[in-house]
Amino acid sequence: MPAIPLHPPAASRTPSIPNPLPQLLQTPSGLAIVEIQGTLNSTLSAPQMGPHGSIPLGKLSFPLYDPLAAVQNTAWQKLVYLYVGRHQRLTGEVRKLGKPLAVVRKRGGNAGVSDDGGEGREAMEIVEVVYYKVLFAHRPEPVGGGVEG
Amino acid sequence: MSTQADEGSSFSLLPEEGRQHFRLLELPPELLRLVVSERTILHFKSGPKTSEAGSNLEAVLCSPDKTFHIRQVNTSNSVYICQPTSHNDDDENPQPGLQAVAQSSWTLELSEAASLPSAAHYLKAALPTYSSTGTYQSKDPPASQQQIFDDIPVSQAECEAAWRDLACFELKNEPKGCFLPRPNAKVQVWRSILESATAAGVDVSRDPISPELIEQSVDRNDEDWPDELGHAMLDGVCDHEGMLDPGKWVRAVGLDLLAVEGARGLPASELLKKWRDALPEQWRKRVQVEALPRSEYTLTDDRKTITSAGAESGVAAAAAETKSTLGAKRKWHEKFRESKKAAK
Repeated sequence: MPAIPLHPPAASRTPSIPNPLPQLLQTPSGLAIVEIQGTLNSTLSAPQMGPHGSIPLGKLSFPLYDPLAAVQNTAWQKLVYLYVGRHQRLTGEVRKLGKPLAVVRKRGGNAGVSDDGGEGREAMEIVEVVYYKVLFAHRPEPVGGGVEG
Repeated sequence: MSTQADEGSSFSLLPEEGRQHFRLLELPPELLRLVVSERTILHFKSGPKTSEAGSNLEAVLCSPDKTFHIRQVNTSNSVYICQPTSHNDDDENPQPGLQAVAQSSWTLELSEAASLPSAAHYLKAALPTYSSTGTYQSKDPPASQQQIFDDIPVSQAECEAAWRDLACFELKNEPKGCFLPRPNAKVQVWRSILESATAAGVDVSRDPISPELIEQSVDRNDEDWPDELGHAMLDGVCDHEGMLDPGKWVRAVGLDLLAVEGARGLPASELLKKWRDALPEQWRKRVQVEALPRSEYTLTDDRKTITSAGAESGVAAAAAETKSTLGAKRKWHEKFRESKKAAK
């Protein structure tokens, strides 16, 4: 059976959308990894779709992050909050991955032309190489309902 | 006053239908460098299942010259792959948010596959043979060299090295295809080359000497072994600069003779004599048992009898290879060794 090529990330990949994450977690394609221990069950009684069919999970916040502070200031990495719904909060941290992770997918789709003969041979590509993840490893804790707008 | 609801960026999840299919693959430092700095294309390969390999041989990931075994590691955590989105709940004041576009419950981990069966093992299993009687085994349909390499879960460079070591060759004319020469064919060719070179007065002690010079001297009379085989054999005993390496040549002749004569053991002195006779005079002093790789023979009877370690048999050769790579920590490697012992 033919070998399946795995292409490296495209040299020029720039996000078209501003990235809300701290600089350290930003990648050229914008992809990032968030890991939550256990499963995230929707606390919403009925799935309330946000715009374009997405399911809102909550808010991700880096309370100690200061974009203007020196890069060597890494204390902010130890505290990340994920507010889920109105009443729960997960606490997590930024972790450097032991080995960087390649985010891989099948290449092409419609544009199935490959370098070698254009037979539309199956190929994979690395979309991004990610060096950090945000990890939530604690149980959610209740938080007092904030003032909702 | 800022509230929890105001802090941070919105985090949403695409519903299942909209999600992308990503896999997460760990990159050891060497592959990271190849992918990021050198923009090398890697290759996923999977091999044919053989009974000798025991359980299914799973996919491997190959760099141009290294092979990495792939292991799927599951997690019970929810691992989300996210990207920025410009859409969030608050259409009046759209802030960039983060959206999980994929979820992966497993990661692919890589380990160097040193203890897997070698490319040589796979080539011996895959290739039809050519023997000294001029007989070609058939393989239907004939496969090209690259097709054969694609089927072997080992990197390209390792396949090419094994191909050279085994003096495999490819014929473009009938009978088309790739062939593995049996040792008896190679012994015939070594003797033929020696005769022709001697007759033509080619001085092999002249340093360096090119394969072309030898090829030009070869007069095969009625012998019908293919040019491609002679070329492959000479190629296999060249050094890095493409010049014939006396040490490699001497070793190759010895190994082929041992494979032909030594299946059931023969007096070491007899092997050494035949070996010398098959070599140019200037190289005969290099002949000694120790010039052969240790894994290829056993000496018994007070070192008087030498027996081939089963170069013909794929099973024994693979067993010898796995024995020489002790120290593999992973359980599945141990399972592999045990199943091989059972097979013997």
